[in-house]
Amino acid sequence: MATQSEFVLQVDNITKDLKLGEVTVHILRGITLNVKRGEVLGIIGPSGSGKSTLLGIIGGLDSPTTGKVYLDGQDVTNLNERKLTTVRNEKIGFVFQQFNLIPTLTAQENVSLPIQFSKTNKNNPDKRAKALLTTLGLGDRLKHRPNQLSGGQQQRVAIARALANEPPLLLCDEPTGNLDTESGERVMAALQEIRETLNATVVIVTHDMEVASQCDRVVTLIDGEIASDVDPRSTAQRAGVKMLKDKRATDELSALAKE
Amino acid sequence: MFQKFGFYIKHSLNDLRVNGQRTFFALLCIAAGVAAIVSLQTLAGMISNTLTDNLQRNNRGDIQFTTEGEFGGDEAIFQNAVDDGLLVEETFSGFGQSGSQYYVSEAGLQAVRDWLNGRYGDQVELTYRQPLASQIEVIFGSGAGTAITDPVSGVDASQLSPILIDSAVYPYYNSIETQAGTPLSEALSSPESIVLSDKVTEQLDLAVGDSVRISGSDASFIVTGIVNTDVEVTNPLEGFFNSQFGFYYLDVSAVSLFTDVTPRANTIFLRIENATPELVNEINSGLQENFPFVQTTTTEDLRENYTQLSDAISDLVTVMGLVSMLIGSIGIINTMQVIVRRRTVEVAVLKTIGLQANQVTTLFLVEAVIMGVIGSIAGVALGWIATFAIKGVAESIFTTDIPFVIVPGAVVNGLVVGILVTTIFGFLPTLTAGQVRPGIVLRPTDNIVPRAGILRSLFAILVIMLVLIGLAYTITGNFGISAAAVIGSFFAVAILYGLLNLMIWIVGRFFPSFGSVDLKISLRQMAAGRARAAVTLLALVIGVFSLSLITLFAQSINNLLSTTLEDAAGGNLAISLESPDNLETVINLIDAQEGVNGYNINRSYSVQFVELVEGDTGDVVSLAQIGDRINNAETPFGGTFGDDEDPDASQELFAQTVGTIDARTMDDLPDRTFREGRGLTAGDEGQPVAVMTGSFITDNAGVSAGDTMRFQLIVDGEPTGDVFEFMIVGIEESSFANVGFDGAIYAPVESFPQGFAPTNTSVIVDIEDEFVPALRRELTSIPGTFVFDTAFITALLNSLIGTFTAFPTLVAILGLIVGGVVIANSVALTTMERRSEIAVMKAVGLQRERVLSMILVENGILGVIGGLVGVGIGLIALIQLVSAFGVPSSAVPIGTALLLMGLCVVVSLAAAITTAWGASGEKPLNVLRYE
Repeated sequence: MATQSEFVLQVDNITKDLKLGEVTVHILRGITLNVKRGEVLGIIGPSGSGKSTLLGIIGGLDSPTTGKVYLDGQDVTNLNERKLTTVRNEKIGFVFQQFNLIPTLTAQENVSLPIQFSKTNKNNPDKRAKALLTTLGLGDRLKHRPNQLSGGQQQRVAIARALANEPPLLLCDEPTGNLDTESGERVMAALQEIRETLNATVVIVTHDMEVASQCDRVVTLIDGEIASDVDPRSTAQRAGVKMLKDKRATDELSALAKE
Repeated sequence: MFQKFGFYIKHSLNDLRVNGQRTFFALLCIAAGVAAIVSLQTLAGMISNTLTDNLQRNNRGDIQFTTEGEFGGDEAIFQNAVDDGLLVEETFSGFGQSGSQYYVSEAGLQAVRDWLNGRYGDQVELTYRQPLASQIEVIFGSGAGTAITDPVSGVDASQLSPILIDSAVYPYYNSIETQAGTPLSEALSSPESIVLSDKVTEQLDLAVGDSVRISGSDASFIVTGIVNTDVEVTNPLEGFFNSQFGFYYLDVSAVSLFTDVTPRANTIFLRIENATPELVNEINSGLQENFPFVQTTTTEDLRENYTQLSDAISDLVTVMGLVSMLIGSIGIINTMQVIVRRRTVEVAVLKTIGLQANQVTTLFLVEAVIMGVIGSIAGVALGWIATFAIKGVAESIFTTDIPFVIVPGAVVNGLVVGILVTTIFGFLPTLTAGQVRPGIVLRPTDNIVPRAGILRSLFAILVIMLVLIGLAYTITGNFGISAAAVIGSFFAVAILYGLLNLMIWIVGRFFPSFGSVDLKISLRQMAAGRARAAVTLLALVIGVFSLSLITLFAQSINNLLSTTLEDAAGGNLAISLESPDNLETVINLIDAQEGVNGYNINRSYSVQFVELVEGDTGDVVSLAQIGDRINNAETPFGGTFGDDEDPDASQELFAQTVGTIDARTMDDLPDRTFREGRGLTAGDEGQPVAVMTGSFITDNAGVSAGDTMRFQLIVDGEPTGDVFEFMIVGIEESSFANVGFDGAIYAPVESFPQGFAPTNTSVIVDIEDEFVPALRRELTSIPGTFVFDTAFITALLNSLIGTFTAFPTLVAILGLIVGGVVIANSVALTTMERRSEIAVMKAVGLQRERVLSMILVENGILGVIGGLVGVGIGLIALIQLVSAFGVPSSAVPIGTALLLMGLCVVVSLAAAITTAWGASGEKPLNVLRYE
């Protein structure tokens, strides 16, 4: 096992089962995954492959049926709700597909929120928010409310909010899913910049191959299992992508056959 | 800490501002509840201020005193004073009753003056009111001065109270002016000058300068002024006759214009220069010691009375205001639930970025508190406005101007209760916010309903109950009663909620849609949202229940009095004759009078019960045996009658009950219901038959139709020795309405042993209302004749009912308004939640009007359910209540009940239209694309 400083995130053989009436559905089937500090990890896979469930478990939003999750070396698997909340506040930054900004607060207020509720962060919430937003090119949008911002701008505010408490891990769920190509590119550029300037570790769940191709490493999930775990630019990754495409084609064919 | 708190406040304010309509209705719910508290308490404070503001003026002096009649105390004291010439005794007899009333004689007045002068010199002065007729004569409208006639039209007003005063000084500490602004002293410049109250001038259509005649005087009086009723009537506890029938002022010198009127005083007023409480007490004690027949009222007594009265009103309105607030709080629960539900994803995000469950709960609680603060402040302002609207009710009860003042206690109570109730009722929904799972942020859907969990919910309910018990304790001062009331109310509300929920479900599920898609959708929507609909209807039901109970009760009594009383008595005018010799004259007058539909002569005989012969067995039952039967009877309160009573009391009671037999002519007998046997008919004349009114005593004595009762006549207090008998042919239903002037038994007049004088003779006349004054006027020429109009009882009781129900009615109306606001709030919330659904319906081609009509149909049905339950419970409670009073259930006004149900539907529809109009006009794309 790697040392604490080397891996920000360690996922050790986790499973997730859901009981739907009499039937038990195996959402995740023994996922093991280590993410190095400063690494950008992409998780791809078809709908229902378990991507979002995995992200939820990593982020302390859900608990696994079996297995362990270590964050910065700390076992966060069986923490109670209070401690998990603190972990989320201090160690994890979330970016969602729907942006999920608080509609009644301005951009600056949205970003300063996690700092205000942090027990350890000594940053001045307003100053820190202003700095982050300026870094992300929104220095002139500090007092704007979410409904006064474009989708791309909203997502950059969400990224700034995720970075507010300087978390070692950034979890992004389809960060470009709701954006046009240009806005999506700007968001990805922002994430790359953060990785470079802040040495942040980023886990991105995505459907978008373009996004995945910008990651250092891409894990392909199929039916709750890791089908491939490679460099996106490698041959193996291309094979993974092909598998994914084949899977989609098979699904579509079987759907057609059913009709 | 401060930063977090700042965030809570800022976030809450922003949220309230952004959600304009929702915030508005939520605030309105709180404001309406607080307004009810503030307006009612302010009114109570204003009444208290008005009453206690000028005690000397209200008491018309520092001390006033009067004498009491036969119920006032030791008869010997009055008799001694009469013997000493200090008092004048006036006796009254009629309808088989007699009594005395005492007045201070001229010598008595002089004695008081001498005593005061000897002790206090010029420091104390007195004035008095001189009556013409006694109070009892005013009731019967028969004494001198009780009727005024307009000689031009010949119309007269009766049952008036004459007030003869020394116009130069009366009243102390105040000055009475006519409507034209003339002081009483100027208006009453001669003995023939008369100042009438507005009630009299309205009745007779008189103006200043007209001349009038007063009964008991041959003089002609000139109207020199008109005064408002409130110059003489200062509070509802006294002055019923003055306010109900009217009064007039004459100068005391006018007494010489009346024949057979002795100068005397009925109320004497003292003005004490530089009065201190000690001096007032000293003089008061001295008066009572030297003139033991006086009944004094000092300014301090008055203060005590007024304080008690205003405390009682204050307690009543506080409790009732609290009920309104609780109705309003249902709106808070609804609003907070929707706020939390609408923001479930937002809560999940907040928890994802690090807010703990308790912090999320605090965030929403802060929002509830802010709503409470803003709503309560608005409520205070609204309450002041409402005070102006409702103070007229109090002014009509107290017949005086009640100036508006800001009552700080009312404001503080309104704010504290408003904020507290909003906070505690907002607590349960906010608890659910804390329990939102952060994971849903990854898969947000519209169907997530946050739940607090059973334990937390129970905990929240417990907290709410404890706070309410605390609130109730501050009002009642009794923990047991407070706890029982709150816990009982919770159970009642829970049962009501269950009932409403079930009814909505049944209607939504099984009511036929008659092939109408609109109705089908409305019914389904209603059934789906029945939890909130039931909570909302609770508010309406409580309001309409209170209103229906009060309104229906008042109207039942009114119905009963205006129709049944008259029917039961067999007429609307009872004439009692002191001497049976005058009967022929009276009958001649009645026969000659226009408007008489019929009459019935009633002679009452005193009898002594001898024995009962049972019709079926022929067994003879003695009084002692009857006593045993009654003693063994079970009472409605458990146990037997003999348990608590002296064993012989039952015999006495029975003997007393059947101690008077009325001999009646067989024409125009009262219309009664018989539970057994039959009533008397013309064919019974001369036959030894009688009917009896059923009661606890006669029923348990075992008297039934077919039995024969034997009696002896009592003449001059002694039994005659001759036994005569009546067969009981019918037993009447006992009822509150059997208020007659008769005994429990009546028989045909010719069936009585002849040659004996009855103890009382009366004639019951059925006469058109407009001819009553004319007949009354004719009858005043016959001495010893007293006339009693059933309209008087109706007016008196209606006035009392009006006084006692005015405040509860006011509160119930406020409650209904608050209920309406809660519905408006609920409809606003529901339509907001259904915006996308409405948008889809419009997108597929439904017109705005049709969408609106669906919402209206749904709320109309809910209004009907609310009305059925609210008025239904009110009716059930009312039927229980009236049957306890012995009122027949036919007096229950079904028409009014239906009107109240209609009102419920109107409130519901009005609230729905107000709020749903905007939502139904929303462009579908706005909702579907951008929300």
